[in-house]
Amino acid sequence: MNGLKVRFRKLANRWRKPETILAALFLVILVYLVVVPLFSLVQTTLVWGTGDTRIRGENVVVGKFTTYHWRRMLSGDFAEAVFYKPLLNTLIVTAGTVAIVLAVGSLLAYLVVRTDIRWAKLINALATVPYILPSWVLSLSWLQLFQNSTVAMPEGLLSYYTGINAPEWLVYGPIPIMITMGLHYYPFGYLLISGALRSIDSQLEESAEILGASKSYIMRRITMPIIKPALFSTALLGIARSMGTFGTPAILGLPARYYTLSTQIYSLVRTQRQGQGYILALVLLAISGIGLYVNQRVISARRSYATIGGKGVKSRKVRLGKWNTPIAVLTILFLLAVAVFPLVFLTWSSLTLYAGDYSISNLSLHYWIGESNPRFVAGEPGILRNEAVMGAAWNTVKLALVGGLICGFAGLLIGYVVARARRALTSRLLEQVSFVPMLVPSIVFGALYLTLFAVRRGPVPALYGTFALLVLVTVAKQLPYTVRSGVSSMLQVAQELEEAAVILGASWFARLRKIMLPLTKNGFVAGTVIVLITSMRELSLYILLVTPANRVLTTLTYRYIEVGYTQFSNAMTVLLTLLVVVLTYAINAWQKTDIGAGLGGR
Amino acid sequence: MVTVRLVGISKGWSGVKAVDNLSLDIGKGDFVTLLGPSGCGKTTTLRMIAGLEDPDDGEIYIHGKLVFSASKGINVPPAQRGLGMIFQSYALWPHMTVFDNVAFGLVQQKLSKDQINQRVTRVLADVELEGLAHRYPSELSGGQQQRVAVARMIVVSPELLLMDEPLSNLDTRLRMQMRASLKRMHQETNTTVVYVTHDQEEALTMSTGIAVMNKGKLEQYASPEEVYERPASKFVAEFTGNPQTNFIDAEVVDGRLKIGDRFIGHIDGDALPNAVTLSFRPEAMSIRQESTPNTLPATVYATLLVGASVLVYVHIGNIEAVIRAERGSKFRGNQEIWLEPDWTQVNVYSPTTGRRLDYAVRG
Amino acid sequence: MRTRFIRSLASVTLLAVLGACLGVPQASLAATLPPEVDAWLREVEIGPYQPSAVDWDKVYEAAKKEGKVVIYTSSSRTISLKEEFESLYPGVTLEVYELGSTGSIEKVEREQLAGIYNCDVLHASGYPSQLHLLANMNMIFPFYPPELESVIPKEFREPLVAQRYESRAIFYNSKVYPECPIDSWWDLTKPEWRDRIAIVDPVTDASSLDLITTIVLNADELAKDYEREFGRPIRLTTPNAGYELLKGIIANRPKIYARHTDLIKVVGDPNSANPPIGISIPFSSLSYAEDPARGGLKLMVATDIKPAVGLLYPSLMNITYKAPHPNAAKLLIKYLFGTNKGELGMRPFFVVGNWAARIDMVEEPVHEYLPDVRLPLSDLNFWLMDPVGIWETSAEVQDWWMINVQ
Repeated sequence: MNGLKVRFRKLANRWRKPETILAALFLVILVYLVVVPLFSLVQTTLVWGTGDTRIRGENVVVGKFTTYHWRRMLSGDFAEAVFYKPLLNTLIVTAGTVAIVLAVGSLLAYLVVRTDIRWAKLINALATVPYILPSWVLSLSWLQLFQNSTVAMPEGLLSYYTGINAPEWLVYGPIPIMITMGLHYYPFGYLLISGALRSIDSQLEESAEILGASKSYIMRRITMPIIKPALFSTALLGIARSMGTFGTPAILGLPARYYTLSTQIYSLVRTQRQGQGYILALVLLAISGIGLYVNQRVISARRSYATIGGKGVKSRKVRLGKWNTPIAVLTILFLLAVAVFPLVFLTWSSLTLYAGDYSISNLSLHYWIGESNPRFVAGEPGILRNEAVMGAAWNTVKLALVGGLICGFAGLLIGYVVARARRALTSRLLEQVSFVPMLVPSIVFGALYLTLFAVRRGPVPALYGTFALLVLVTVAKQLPYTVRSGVSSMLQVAQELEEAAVILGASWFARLRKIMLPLTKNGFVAGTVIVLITSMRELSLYILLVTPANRVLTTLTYRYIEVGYTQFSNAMTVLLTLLVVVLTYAINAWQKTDIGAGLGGR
Repeated sequence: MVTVRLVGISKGWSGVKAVDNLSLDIGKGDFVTLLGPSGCGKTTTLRMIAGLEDPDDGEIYIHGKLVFSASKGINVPPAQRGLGMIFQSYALWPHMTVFDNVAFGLVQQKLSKDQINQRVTRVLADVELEGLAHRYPSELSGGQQQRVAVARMIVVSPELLLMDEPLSNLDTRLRMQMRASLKRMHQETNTTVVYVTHDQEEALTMSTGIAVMNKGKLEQYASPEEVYERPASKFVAEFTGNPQTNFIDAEVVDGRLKIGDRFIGHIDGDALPNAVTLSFRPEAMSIRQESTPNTLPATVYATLLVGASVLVYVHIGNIEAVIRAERGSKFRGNQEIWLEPDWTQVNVYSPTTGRRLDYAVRG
Repeated sequence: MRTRFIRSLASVTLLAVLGACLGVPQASLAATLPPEVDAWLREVEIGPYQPSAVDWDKVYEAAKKEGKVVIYTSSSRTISLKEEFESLYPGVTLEVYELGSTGSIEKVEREQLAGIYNCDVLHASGYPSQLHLLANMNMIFPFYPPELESVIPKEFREPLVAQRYESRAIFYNSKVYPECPIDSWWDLTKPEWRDRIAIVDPVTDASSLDLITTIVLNADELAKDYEREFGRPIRLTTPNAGYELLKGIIANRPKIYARHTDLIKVVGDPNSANPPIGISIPFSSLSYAEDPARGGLKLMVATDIKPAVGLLYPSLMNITYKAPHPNAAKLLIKYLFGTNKGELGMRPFFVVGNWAARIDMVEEPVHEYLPDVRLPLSDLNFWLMDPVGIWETSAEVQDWWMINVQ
């Protein structure tokens, strides 16, 4: 009896700790934002939907249990065409994409971090640009470059200037999808791998060298194992992101009847076949889940030292010698082609009054600042004086800032909880559950939130049509990034720093505000910026959720692309990219002046 | 008057007891050191006093007030226990200036700006850091950082100050200086100090009381002299010797001690055991050139000069021992010598339990 | 030709009756409506409670109090109406949200399910879905100005109100092919068109799916045309001649485009040496032809194709349930019907390849760059949309397409 009492008191004591309460609170929130949608995903595959009423030969009662969708998706001609073949295509494209992401990312990282390459700062700045471009930009540029008459298309630049007609497999299908997605997502790899390379003390390598190890042996036995966690993280992110991407395979796969799971999901969801579409989403989820599991098995033991950072390690740079300039020039040319050319092209196109005419006399600012003229884009005024565009731009900025801040803050708090009780079940649960949204394709995540928040459920009001829903879905979807940065930055803050404040009588909030937050500000800002960039150029996540009253730039731009306003939508894409760059730059500038001295700087 | 009273406190993690049924009284104004090897539970004990860990069992009183009781469900938060703590890493907040670090506790007490200014300035003067108030911790030397950590805690005038190996990150010279200044601070403020260290020399030089801990249990709690001269167990004797304490097993035959095949000295008392372990510090034996009834034969292995004295490493039979000799003493390797114990400095232990036995020994 | 048009209208009427039997709310069926729906309709006087005469001054007064009207539209052309509407009815703001047909219908459905009432007028095509997903679920209701009853055929008033006809047909590049290179759907199955066909994706584009479903629904006509074209009866390897046609097209490896606007650029590209034939492009896309702002596209529509040039379907405009500005919505619908010269709300839709719902039109639209092109509906042989047939068959056709296209 007494033992029970003591236990109860111990429990009560634990519950007095803010981290326990926080952990519980976050678990509840995450269960609602992540687990309930997942449950709803599974449920949808097992009941009849409203669109199914047109199916003949089945007793369709909307909302009633059925295994029809699963039966259709698992065997027969339909399954073969809609599931198995696209699955194979998805696996091929994903593997290729990840290979490119790893190859380009690690090569660039190596050049910038470990060699004395010229103009390293410029290369570093250019290397991250593709990530801030909306995903459709690279694939459209690809077509501009390679399309030609053999695929019954207008002449692209290659054909126009050289007369060479690229074969169909280079214009459409898996090869261009892999290349453009790889070039879009390699900045992930670049950032992660260069981070890992920076943390290697070259003394580790030098000591091996002194012991007579060959270069390749050092690479294999010393360097690779140390950056292995970063490589695996890159691969995992690459898998999760590229499998769920819809834009690229839609533009470069569809014309050649090359379908992937993401395009099939989009088609099925758009044609009121959620039940079947979500089964494919579950498959994507399962594949990413396996990736995550393997990833954790491989790197969990190494995690402890994978996250160190900030210490000035000695790094000896490899001398490129006479090859330095040629390599640097090649690298910069490559980056210009991937990062800058599409942007320049878009800008130029947005300045041409009549499509396809690139002569000087045709240059005009009409699509930027022109007044309404019914001859062009059905009388839409230029984007800078267009209410709809400016409204959407403001919404985008607001959403990115609010979403980014909430996400960054939540990530830090979850990081705090996880770091304070590394081994507790709640911590591990929190970490794992918060990672799940990364594995769910954006389009499916959006669709789930639509069903989940379309009607009032218990205390949660119907949020569809509100700005709050966009914020919510942004936070839930992007949380994996900030939780990761939150956990690692919290782990870097010694517990004693907080305990000293405990002793001096600081309340939990005071500690958070005065000690923990200032010390983890870098991680917070980094996480927020990633969320900011990602959400500003995110399309599939919002496309089902926006209502006319709260559109964002990407959905509006996509709409104008759909109706064929090329120059107008290109102007919007440029505007969007500019907004991302300016916001990111502003945050970086502000964050540096504020925190530099505070952390002792050197 | 007792400042800290621990009654039967225990703490464990996943079945391993870090602190096992520990009871301890620390008087007002004492400077008590918790001494032991790493993993002995000393830091855990300190953190439980501070309230940073919750014991699984037992009670803690501070200034006569019950601040923790597992059975009564009492657990007073750290800030209300009236104590300060200095961490091994100093735990200075890198994003705050020295002034802000020191002022933090006063700000939490919502003192007026003038009061804060006044008290921080005074305490910084006390620790000789005036002029550095607006530096950041990363701009200070290790010793200065350590003094900031002290200042941060004494500025709120706690009646109890907890220190967790505060000097272990300093180099030898600085450590000695800081010992002196901590000791002086203790005397001036008359604060009760609980001090954790694994350095026996630090414990011996600074404390008014030493609690030697081993595997979560208290081995001995006594004054430094007592701990040094009459270690309660072989463990304590071993842990407090510098450079080490010599142990020699002896048979007891009719009130005589027999080491090897040589009878030496007498042991007095009732119900004498058959065998004992004798301990003597390096300075408790003198080196003789000739054999007498009160000597043991030994061979010299090596000689080390350590400033004021010479350490002679010898073999007594197959036992290795260290003897402290006067500076200037010269010995060759393998030289035969004889050792004469100073019986007043010899302690007797049970070879089985390792506890000290209360028998008197003499020549 | 005129008779064929009237026959088409007759079949629409038939379908309308069929629709009514399927449970579309009509005055006679008003009693079966849920009480709160019935009460609302009675209050705002739309659907079954539409009065036989409307005092438009009173409606305008009420609309001014409502302050604005929100339209979800399939067409970007609607945006240009804002200024004129607001100057015609000062005090009533027009908010236009251009979302495409599928998008508009989806939004209205989601919002109605969520109990969110943003939209007043749904202005979009997608007849089968609007009928089955919205009208049958009491989410949209018809309203038309009673004074226009005589000039708007019944099938454009019931079960849902339509503004105009739109269509999907075959386009070709007029620079490469001065004359239309084909005269039958079956031509598209011939080997010379291998790799030179493009189609708007029937899986994601609803109207494109409607077109290929209509092809399947009109299999008998196609079978006859096959015999005419090849001089022998068709031998079926699929369920019917409609599928056989689709199979033949797929065998020619068509390029698939998600949007007809992308397809237009490819088909009409003035610099292309080998442009494809484009299937399922709206007739009204002809208005982009030769427009320098669009890059001077060399577009032409195939008007003489057997057995039919393509699919004709109504573009609807109806009031959503619990519309927050019902009186302003009525004004807007009146405005969108325009005049018999294609003015007011009809103006942006009064283009070659669009046909007004009104039968009292006294003028025909003129193409800005191709003044010789006149396309009266009566000269064109279309398949008329069968909303019920399409609703019931499209899933099957879509499945078949997905299986066979890869």
